[in-house]
Amino acid sequence: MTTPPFSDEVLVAARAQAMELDLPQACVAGVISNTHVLQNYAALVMDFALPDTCEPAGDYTP
Amino acid sequence: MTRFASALGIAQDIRSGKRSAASIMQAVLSTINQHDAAIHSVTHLFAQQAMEQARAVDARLARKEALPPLAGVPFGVKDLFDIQGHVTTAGSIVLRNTPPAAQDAAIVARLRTAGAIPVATLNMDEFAYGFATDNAHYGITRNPHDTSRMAGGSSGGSAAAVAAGFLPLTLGTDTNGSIRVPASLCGVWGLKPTMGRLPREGAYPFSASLDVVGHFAGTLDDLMAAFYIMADSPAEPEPQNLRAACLGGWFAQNLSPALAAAIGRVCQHLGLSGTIELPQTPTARAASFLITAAEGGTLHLPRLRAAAEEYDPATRDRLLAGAMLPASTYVQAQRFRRWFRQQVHAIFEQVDVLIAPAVMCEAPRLDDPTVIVDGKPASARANLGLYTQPISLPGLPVLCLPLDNTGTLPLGLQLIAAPGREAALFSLARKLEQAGLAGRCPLNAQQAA
Repeated sequence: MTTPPFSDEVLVAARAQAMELDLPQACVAGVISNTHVLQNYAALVMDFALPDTCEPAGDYTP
Repeated sequence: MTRFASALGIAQDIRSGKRSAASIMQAVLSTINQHDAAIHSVTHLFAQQAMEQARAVDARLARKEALPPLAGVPFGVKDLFDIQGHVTTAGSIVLRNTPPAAQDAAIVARLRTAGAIPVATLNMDEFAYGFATDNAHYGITRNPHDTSRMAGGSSGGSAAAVAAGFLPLTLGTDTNGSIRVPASLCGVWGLKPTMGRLPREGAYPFSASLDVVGHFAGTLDDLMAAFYIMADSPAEPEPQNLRAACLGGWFAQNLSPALAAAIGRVCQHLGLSGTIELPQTPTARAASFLITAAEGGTLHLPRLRAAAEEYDPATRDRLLAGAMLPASTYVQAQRFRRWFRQQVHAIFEQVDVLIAPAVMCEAPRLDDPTVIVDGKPASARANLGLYTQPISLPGLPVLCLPLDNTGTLPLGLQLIAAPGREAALFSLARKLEQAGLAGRCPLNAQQAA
């Protein structure tokens, strides 16, 4: 059995609830739209295989 | 004539006694008051303080004191740099009731020590989140070359003020292209230095992993002089016999015909053939986008919980979406960043300077804010950073060079070097300037009147 993908609307509502973030109604459509854009970028980054030894660039220097 | 004068030329005129600092400042203020309504680059004028400081320069000269290198030179700052005694709003209204800055931002202080005088704060996208300088609170900055077109952003007021000849030197910040995009669209010189080379203290943050402070100038000499003053380091010799290469792949797609031709002329002049490709460029752009969204969103989340209605709606919704990104996405983007940096550094073992377009075309129209991507009209705001965002990720120094003699509205190139190698950028830019391929795009006679 496969889980159906979340819609961006459901995703935004769930994330806001988890953060106890009360999204004003005026924001909802815009946040969903921006979340959709970010989800596409996130897919690119998450699908890129990195070696386990590749650390986050928290101490980043150019 | 003060309008379009260079910073070094102004300093020389004052030092030689040809003109007084006060007369120059009066002329600058008069020009801004007379002409800024057409482009709306300025958000606040420090008229009285600037005149007082200019008279102080004249008094020092009268006492035969030695003057510092930029004595009496007017400059402007993006509205996110602290100016002592002035409230820093970062293009917002939500910060308008915060206390005035206790001291100048670090690079403002260094310019002041060099004798330069802050004259104005300049318009920006709210909290630097955008490429349009379309601010719900302070209005739209228009392109001085054609006021029906975008100036670019987020440091659009800074680029436009130089392009219009109001100020010879302005400060900006660049997270994903906020110096390079407006420099390209307005036809002026812009520098995003190596990350960390200029101090960020006193510049309102956006994305700590990517924010870089930098500047705009009307001439290459002014750009270089201001850089070394702000870096608090002596000017470095310009290296010769540089190895340059054009970036291909992602950076050769979606170019307007005029820009493709201009890049071709640059390559021909430099004797370049073939191109280099950056690995995983779309993913680099994505990582830069995600890091910015997550860090910006997290920074603003407490204030958004309390006063979301005081934000520009477009900024607010982007920040909220960013604040809700999962930690795993952010951490993976930072891991990719480290990997990408290693790949890019390896490329700089083969070349000294990479050449890439800054923006794919001339400034889009305000009433039709689109660019052509993959053969179709697409949102300009979402795509003006197509070539700048991937380059932001590794923290490299990038000079945005105004292409000359293109027969179009301004077009810009990115010159990109290894970390700390700004001198290589200056050297190649000089070569292109001397060949007549680079230089500030002049306004037409009517716009400059």
